[in-house]
Amino acid sequence: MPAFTSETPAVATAVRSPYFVNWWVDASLIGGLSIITWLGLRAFYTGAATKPLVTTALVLSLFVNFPHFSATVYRLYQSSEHTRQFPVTAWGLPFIMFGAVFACFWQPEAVAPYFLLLFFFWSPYHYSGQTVGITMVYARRCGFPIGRRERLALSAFVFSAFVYGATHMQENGLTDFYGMSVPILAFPAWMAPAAQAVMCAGALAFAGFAAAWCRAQRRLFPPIVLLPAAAHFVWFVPGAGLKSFLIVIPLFHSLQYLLIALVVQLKLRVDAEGSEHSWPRVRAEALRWGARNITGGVLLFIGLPLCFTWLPLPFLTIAGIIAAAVNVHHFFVDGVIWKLRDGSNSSALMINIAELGSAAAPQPGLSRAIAA
Amino acid sequence: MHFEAVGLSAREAFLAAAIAAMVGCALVSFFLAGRVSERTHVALAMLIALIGGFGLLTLLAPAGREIPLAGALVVLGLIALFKLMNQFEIRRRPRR
Repeated sequence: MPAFTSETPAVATAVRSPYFVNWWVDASLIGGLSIITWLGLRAFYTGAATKPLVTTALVLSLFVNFPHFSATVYRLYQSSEHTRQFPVTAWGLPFIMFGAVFACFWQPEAVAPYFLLLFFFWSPYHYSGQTVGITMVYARRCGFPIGRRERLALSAFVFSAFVYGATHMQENGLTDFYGMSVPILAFPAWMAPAAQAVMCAGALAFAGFAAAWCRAQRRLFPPIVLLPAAAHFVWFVPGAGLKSFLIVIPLFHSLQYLLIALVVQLKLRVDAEGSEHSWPRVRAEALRWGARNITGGVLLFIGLPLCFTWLPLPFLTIAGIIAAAVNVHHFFVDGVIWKLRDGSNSSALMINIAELGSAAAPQPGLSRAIAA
Repeated sequence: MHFEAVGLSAREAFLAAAIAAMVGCALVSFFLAGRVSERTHVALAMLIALIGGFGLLTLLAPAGREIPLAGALVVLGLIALFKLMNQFEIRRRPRR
């Protein structure tokens, strides 16, 4: 969900809890687990042998990473209202993506490496957009207003961390994708220090706004608001030098996404007119959504490449090109369907899952968490 | 396909296909004039920009592998392209 808009709808003011589920679940999925993993890998797994980790990441991908792509597709195509609202995204974009895939199959030497390069840079850019978006969601839930200045400071921090990380990864780390080589660009010596300078300036400015808010509100800044940016920093600055960690970063990005996408889906289904609010209903809907997205993910990343095994290319190359195309398609669709300007999104992004599980309507001011 | 027979390199053949795709998108926009919303026309224009941007990437990225400044420009160009694509098919507020 890379590009939330900055408008604050009226519904935002009726927020009750800063968490979608609770402190533990939100903090773990939004960034806590990734920071702990980085600490663990840094302490115990600094070697170059990443094969066991790749295998683990691949298995986890079936349940986390692949479904996260499927969830976007599902969200776009599950209702004809959405496809009518975004006709070019729904019906035009797949042709462009298939065109790119066929161009890569046709010219695996001249085109495919540059398609991978496009994906290689777009991917962390997309992660950065999601970090900004999630920070804004939690800021809104916690009552911290993100205006133009705050957003600029946050974006400066987040996007320059991406530039630093992506250039660092190219120089030192991940340049291999499904056995194909991503072209390595040369960068001027000033690029990394310049990115770091912008990152520090953004962090200082945002810290200043947060401090001013704390003084005015006479309370501590909610840590959950800072967690997405802190995790993003770990992914792209210290984490960019740790090859074993680079392999698992997409899983943590997907975990962030799945938490929010699930809550929005539950709100859409369980909160539909005439539907009963209960935990069994929430569980059933969550399981149904999870099963569909796991299946969808397998179809996208394994089923689709299998359709092209007749081509005179190694299967890994076919799978890699399709995986890159599914990613790029996701970056587009995600940008379209998650705009906070959309009233249905903004109201869904303000709920707590307990509101859907309990029969009684939630009472404003009930949350202890927000007062903490 | 033996594009060498007509004097085209692999990259030139791809660029020809990319130009054809851009012309195709422009024609779709032309033939849909008056039948679809302005947002759809803008989205089609952005697809043209995307295809053109990718064509330029295949053309210029090799220079970015050799010359550091060109590498930085390629990254900045990509970021500009991503920023533009972030506005893909979104509803815009009317200007006052």
